[in-house]
Amino acid sequence: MIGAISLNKSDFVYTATIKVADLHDCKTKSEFPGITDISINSRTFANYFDCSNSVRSFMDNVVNKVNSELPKGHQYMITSEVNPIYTGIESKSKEWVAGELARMWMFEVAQEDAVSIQAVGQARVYMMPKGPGSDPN
Amino acid sequence: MMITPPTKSFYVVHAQGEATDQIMEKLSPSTAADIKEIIMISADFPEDIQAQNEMDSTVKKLSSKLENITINTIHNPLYIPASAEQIDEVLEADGEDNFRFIGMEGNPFTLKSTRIFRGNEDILEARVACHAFDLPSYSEIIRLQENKVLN
Repeated sequence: MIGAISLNKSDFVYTATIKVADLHDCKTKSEFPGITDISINSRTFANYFDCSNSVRSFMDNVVNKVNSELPKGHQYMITSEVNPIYTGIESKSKEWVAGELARMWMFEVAQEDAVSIQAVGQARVYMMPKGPGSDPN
Repeated sequence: MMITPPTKSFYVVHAQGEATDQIMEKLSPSTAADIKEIIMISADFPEDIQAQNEMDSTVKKLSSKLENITINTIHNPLYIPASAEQIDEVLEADGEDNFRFIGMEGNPFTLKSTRIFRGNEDILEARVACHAFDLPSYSEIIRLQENKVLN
């Protein structure tokens, strides 16, 4: 359904937040002593698929690294949702903002079937009108 | 003319460009080139000196591999001994006996700020701040100082 959006007339960015303090004790957590949250803002992408691939890689890398440092009982996973105004399918997460396309969540595997999850990471993909200084890469 | 913030302190680091590299190395090296900026927020510390020491340690780590940089640290003289000229503005609120201080570029609750520049490019900014509280009036600060002297 993303194809219904005018992808060619838009730029794309993503943001992500990892709640380091809420992670189980692991090497990654100890590499950021005293830090509770790490938030990142991406560069602007001229292409949705590059943006989408980058945010997936970022979240996959984080979850794979953290999981490699934890026992099997404390593994994390990622799920994603597309803004329901583009799919017509109700999403678990609410309060989508203008231009927001998709969200990814990082949470404990044990919470997979829970009604509400306690996420330790979140990424959001946004589209915005293509600017004159758009990065062609 | 210092005051002691009655709230807990924390620090915030805002890294851009090359200053994000060391953070991304630990999280996701393969997407480092796609990241424009990173903001890190610390836990609350009961004493502001702890927040300052932790921030200094973090800034030192993040800047250790950066070359040709200028580091500029300023303290807000409302909270930490420093030159009175470092107060950015003193604004009169309502009446001559009711001054309010606005320090550190409009955020009165910033205790200390460290900025790293490369040329004119601002690549890292770190601030120790305390949570908001009712700032005392000028006359109240004077009264507190006088009480300390008399005691």
